[in-house]
Amino acid sequence: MENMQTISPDLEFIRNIKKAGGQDVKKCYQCATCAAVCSISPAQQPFPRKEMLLAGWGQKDELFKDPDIWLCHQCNDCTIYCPRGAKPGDVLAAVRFNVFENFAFPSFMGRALANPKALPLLILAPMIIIAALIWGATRGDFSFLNEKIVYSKLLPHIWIEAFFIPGSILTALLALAGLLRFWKGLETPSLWTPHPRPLPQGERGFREVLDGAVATVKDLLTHGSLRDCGTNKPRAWAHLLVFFGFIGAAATAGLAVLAMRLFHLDPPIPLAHPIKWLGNASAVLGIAGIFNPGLKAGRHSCSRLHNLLLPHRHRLFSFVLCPLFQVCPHVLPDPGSC
Amino acid sequence: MAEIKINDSINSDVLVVGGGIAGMTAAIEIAETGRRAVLLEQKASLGGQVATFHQYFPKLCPPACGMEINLKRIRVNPLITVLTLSQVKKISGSPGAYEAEIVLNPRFVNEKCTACGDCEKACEIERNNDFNYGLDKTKAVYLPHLMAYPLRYVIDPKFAADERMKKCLAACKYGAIELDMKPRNIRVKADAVVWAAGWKPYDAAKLDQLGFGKYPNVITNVIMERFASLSGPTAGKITRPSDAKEIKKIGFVQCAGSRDDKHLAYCSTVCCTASMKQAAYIRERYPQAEIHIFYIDARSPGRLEDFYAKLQKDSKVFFHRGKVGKITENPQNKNPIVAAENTLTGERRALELDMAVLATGMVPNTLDEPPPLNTALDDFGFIAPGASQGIIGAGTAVRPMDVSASVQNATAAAAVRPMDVSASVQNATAAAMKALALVSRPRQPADNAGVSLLKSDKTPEAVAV
Amino acid sequence: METKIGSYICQGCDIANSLDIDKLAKIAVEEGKAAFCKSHQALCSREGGDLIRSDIEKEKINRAAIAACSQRVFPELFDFGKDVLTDRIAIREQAAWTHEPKNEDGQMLAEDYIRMSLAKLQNSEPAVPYAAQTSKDILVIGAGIAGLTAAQAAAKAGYKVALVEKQDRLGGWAAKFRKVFPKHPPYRDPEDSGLNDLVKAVETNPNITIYKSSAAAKISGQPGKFEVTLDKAGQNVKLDIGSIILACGWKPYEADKLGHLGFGLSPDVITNAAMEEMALKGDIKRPSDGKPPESVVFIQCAGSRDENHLPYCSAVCCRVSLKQALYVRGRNPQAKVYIIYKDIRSPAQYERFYAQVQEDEGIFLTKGEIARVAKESDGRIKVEVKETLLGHDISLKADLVVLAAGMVAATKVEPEKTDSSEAKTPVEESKGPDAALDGKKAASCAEPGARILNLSYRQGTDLPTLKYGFPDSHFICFPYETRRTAIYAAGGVRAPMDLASAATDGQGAALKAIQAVEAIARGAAVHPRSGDLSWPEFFMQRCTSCKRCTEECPFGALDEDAKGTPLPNPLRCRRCATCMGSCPERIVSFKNYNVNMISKMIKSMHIPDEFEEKPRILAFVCENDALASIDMAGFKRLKYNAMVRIIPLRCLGSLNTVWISDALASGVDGVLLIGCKKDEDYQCHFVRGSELASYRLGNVKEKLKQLSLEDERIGMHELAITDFHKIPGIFDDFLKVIVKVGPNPYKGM
Repeated sequence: MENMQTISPDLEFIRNIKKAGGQDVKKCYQCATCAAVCSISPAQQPFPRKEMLLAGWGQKDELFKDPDIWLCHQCNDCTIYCPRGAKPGDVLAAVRFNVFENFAFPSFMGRALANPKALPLLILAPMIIIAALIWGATRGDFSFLNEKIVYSKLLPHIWIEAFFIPGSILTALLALAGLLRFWKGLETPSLWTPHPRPLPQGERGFREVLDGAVATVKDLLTHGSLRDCGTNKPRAWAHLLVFFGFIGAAATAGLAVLAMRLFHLDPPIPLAHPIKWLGNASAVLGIAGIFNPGLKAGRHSCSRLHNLLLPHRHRLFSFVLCPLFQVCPHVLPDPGSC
Repeated sequence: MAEIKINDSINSDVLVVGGGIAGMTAAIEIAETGRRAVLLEQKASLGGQVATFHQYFPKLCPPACGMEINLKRIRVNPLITVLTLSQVKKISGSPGAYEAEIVLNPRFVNEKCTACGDCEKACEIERNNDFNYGLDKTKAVYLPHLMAYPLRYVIDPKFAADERMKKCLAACKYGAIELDMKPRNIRVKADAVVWAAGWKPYDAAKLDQLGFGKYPNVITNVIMERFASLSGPTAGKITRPSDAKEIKKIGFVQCAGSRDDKHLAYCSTVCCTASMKQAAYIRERYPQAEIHIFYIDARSPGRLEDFYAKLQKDSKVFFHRGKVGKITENPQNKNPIVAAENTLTGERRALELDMAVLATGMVPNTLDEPPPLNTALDDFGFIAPGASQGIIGAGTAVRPMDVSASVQNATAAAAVRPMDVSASVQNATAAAMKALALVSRPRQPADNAGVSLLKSDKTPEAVAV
Repeated sequence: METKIGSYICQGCDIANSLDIDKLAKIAVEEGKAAFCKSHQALCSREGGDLIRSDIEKEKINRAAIAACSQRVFPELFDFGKDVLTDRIAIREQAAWTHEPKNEDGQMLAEDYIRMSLAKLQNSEPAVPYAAQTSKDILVIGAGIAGLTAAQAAAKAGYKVALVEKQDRLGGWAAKFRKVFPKHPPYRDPEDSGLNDLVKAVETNPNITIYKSSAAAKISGQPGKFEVTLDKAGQNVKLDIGSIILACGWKPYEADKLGHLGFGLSPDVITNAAMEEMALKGDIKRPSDGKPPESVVFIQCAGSRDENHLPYCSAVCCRVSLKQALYVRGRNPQAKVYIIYKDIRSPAQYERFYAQVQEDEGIFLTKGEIARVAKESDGRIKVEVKETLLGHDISLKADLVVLAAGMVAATKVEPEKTDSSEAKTPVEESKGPDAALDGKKAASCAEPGARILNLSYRQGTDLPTLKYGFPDSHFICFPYETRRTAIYAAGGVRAPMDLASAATDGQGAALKAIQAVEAIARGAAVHPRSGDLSWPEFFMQRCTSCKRCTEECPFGALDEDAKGTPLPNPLRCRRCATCMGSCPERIVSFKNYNVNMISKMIKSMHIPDEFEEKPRILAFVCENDALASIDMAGFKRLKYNAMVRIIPLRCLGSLNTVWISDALASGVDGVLLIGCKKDEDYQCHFVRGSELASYRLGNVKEKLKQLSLEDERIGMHELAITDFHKIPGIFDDFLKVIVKVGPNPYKGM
């Protein structure tokens, strides 16, 4: 028995999976309908059947090293056709959630994010920071309020950039640290593919990685494989719109800063300015994506739609709020700020 | 339709509803203990589902062999009254004193019919043959099947009023055809009611990802039984419906509908062994054919394990432990392509076949027509054991089960309620003696075991003489 | 009473269009010696029936030869009571419908059928029921769930029941179960077996007499008149019994044969029966150190589905292990329970129970094959499993291993265990083809039963068993079919089954037992010839004690006296007449079915001489299946040659070889035997009719050689009831063989 592995299920991990939305994981009786109907999973060692068994048997390390859980687009074809109602789609989402929690750096942040009781604290933290910045900039003198409203008086750009640029670099580094911890996990061989397929050396290896990268980017931009999923075909469009909405929003923010620093285009940028147009267009894309009528025309009645989207409420929350913040300053009657 | 006067009533010890293997067994077994039994069947002939089967597992023996003996036991026993084309309208009362109101739908052929077939030769109208799931046609006047009981023709009510039926009327030399027969109501009094309404196959079209109804070469197990049967639409030849070509590669899709919360949440018990049997049909006709069986748990309990073990020794039979998730079709040759992961090797294959057979499950008929007196059903529609009002379930009305279990269950059903009727055994046996004494006088319907179902000229359904 | 035959010829259904009715009538009266011959447009009509009944009244005929349709069609219309013997001549199915109309050979065929029918009626009498004073009491052996339910059902029907139990208390296995897997909706949680109420009901039922710590010491006699001697803790109790229900249950497969699964390695490797016993006592503990187990491994199919142990599946162990897993989890929420299975077999609504058990987060199921079971240094047990669903081999550390051992019939006799006095290996091993071939061996080594019934039957003390030692029925449509009349097996002894099926089985067996006592009381046969009033009579003076009949009777109806002459027990008889077929001295006969009757039928045939180019073939056909398919060939209007004369037999086993020599002696050119499938999946309703016929055919062919007759003149076929399409081929190909072989040299002698 060359790869005889002594197995001892981690009951705690199973409970975590159930808490994170995979509450029906144990209903699976290993019929593999999910692996057969999934249009994305590969022919060799297809997912999510083996993941359901590993989750049901509490094989935490095995799952954390399993790259397949990241290929899943959460289209839920498998959940629709699962004869036992084990909802493989949600179980995989729950496993991914546990991976975040486990590999997040610093680990207290990971645990906090996973624990709903910590939500008020998580919301309070940024508010305190912003308040401190405002206090730092205005020293408590809010007399400018009765004059012409100019943002920079409340929170000058320099303060924003001074805090948020290093802040985002720090976030990126922390994310990288978590990713590296995850990547190291992948090194140790998983029992599924005891000897991971070695990458060919030299030029052919690089070409293979490049081709892989190009194909991935192309698929990301067109959401090709998400459209293959039968059940949630309309969701592919919605996701695409939101995806480009965000990219547009990020580009707008970046261009605005450049415009201000390089071309001395002081805010507020006139409505007719292309950067403003880019910002508004992205907001429209984002909102259209969220309330895409296609979602309703999808195969579900509203009630089933609700329980499908439930685990993703925090994402929805952020999608709706940030475009609102962008749009409302232009729309609200403003005595003359721009 | 004029109000039919209830003018006839039958006194009986047991009323058995359903003329399949379970209902027949219950009626015969009770009658052979000297008690009277009335057996109701909705269709034009006894036999139920087993009459449509080609062979039984595990012996691969013909159902007609058991039917032959049971029909002989019915014919020679005056205590059994068979009423076909009959439906229960209402049952009232309680154990020991039930009263059933039954409507006898017109057969349009009376007891003078000798099954000589002249009317069929003269008939010009064709109808879909539901016995073969509509895969072929019969004339408007037809014999239900070769082992039909009563051995008598029947006219499809849709065509009874058609002018062209006059030709069949003329062709009959025995005055057996009566196109103006009307439904008649009768009443049956009995001390016990056995409900053996049986099952029908699950509607495979509801399995949208398996393509039944879309792809011609995807059939169901019950249709395969008709293909294999000599009296089936293809007279025993099993070929592809799309181009009638031979079978080189066939796949059996287990749990098509069963063990599925969105369809039938229970296991229909017989589909595994039925598919193994049908694999034997294929092997008999195509010695070199490749046979694939996709299963989750191969369920051949008890002695049936021999049947599974024998099949595993066949080098061209491949068992894949993994359910077929979806079936697509290769448009060029209309070959069904089944997608399933073999969960032991972790390899998902898309296998192109000549034909795919969906092992669809059993749906109890108690779902569409619930038994009377609000008999308790379980949440799948089967009669719950120890039913409250004394209506006794028998056969697949209680559980999905195979033929010998149905017969065992029906024999037991006959032994439960009617036995502890208030009438003591002496008088019941005496009644039996009186009834059996009738053996010496032919069963003219005049005075048969209290049957006062007089043979008026318009009797659609005399005692099944 | 002087025989007076009325003969009737029907003109309907194309009979008149294809046959000359008047010529047939002339044959019936002149050659057949019928009192008269009337023809009618449709004998099956009311007028047709009235015609015959008035003749019975006025003309005082006591025989009716009815040349119309087959005996299988409307038998109730042509049944004129016990005093009038009726014979149906199938000139519709076997002449008019299957031959060219108005054709000379077809006409001669019909004429022969008339001659044969009248010869038959001249040489047979109506059956007279065997009158006997019989008991209707029922003996139930074994007071488990099946026996208790059977006793209760029979008693509630008003029959006196004697319930015999080996142990000192009632309940059998069900009494040893703490809980049982759910038999009622919603089929989710284990429930009580309901045994106590059943035991209370049985103990208070006035119709049931209970004999605890008792066994059947000896059962002799025959159904309706069984003389039963019970050994009740030493003293004998005599009972008069009508029918018997054997419900002595099952025993677990011997655990010490499961060494390959680790039994014996450590006290912590136990069987499912031991696990249930532990649960019943109160606490699930490790036998070695009494601590509650943290991890338990259930190994399914321990012995079952295994060529070297029990090749069959014991049907309930999956559901038992699922239930027992809940016991472990119930006591210790941290415990981990593994179930290693080949297939989880939870049929019908029990699937919901499987789904319910799965939901327990501490239960882990996977398909897998046990590679090795080894004891670790720390006393725990390592179970290595390969071919799992996890995609790789796994090894589990178990505090407790439960082997889901299989079920064996209580009547199973282990080969080496039989004491030397009966040192015969059970016939099961020697039941191969040679055992039946030379006849003698099959009966002489009658199966050494488990001595539970202790029948003083010539053919063994217990019920004959099938392949795996279960006294089960060989038939799908007749699960209660038994080879010992009025002795029915029920519950775990008949086949591995759960408590609900065992209870159902008990009820079914009760009905069959009641049916048997009622039928036997009026001298009628039970299934498959239900209601048949005839029974075999032996002309003992000419018996040469060759023991053929006592050995070949499929139902053990014939015992032997010291000299070896048969002692018939008519109430055990199923009327298949195998004894009549086996007797070289032809001393066995039934009033309405005997050797002489058929000999006379053969001799009544008109045999044209060899110059007329009209060979004659005689076909002996089993009336249960082959005759039905011949009828269906008629319905389908399949045509075949008119040289074949068909004589239906109750079973091919009743074929006496004298008929073949009579046929050949009277000039018949060829004889065909058409019976049912034999050997492992046999179809014969009387177990081995066609097997015995083919064996006897071997002897006949030797005699043919002595008479320098070609043995191709005799042919035999096995025909299923649905093989009607093969009939023309069988008859026409055989005719070709006969034409090739040439006319019978003894023709016209």
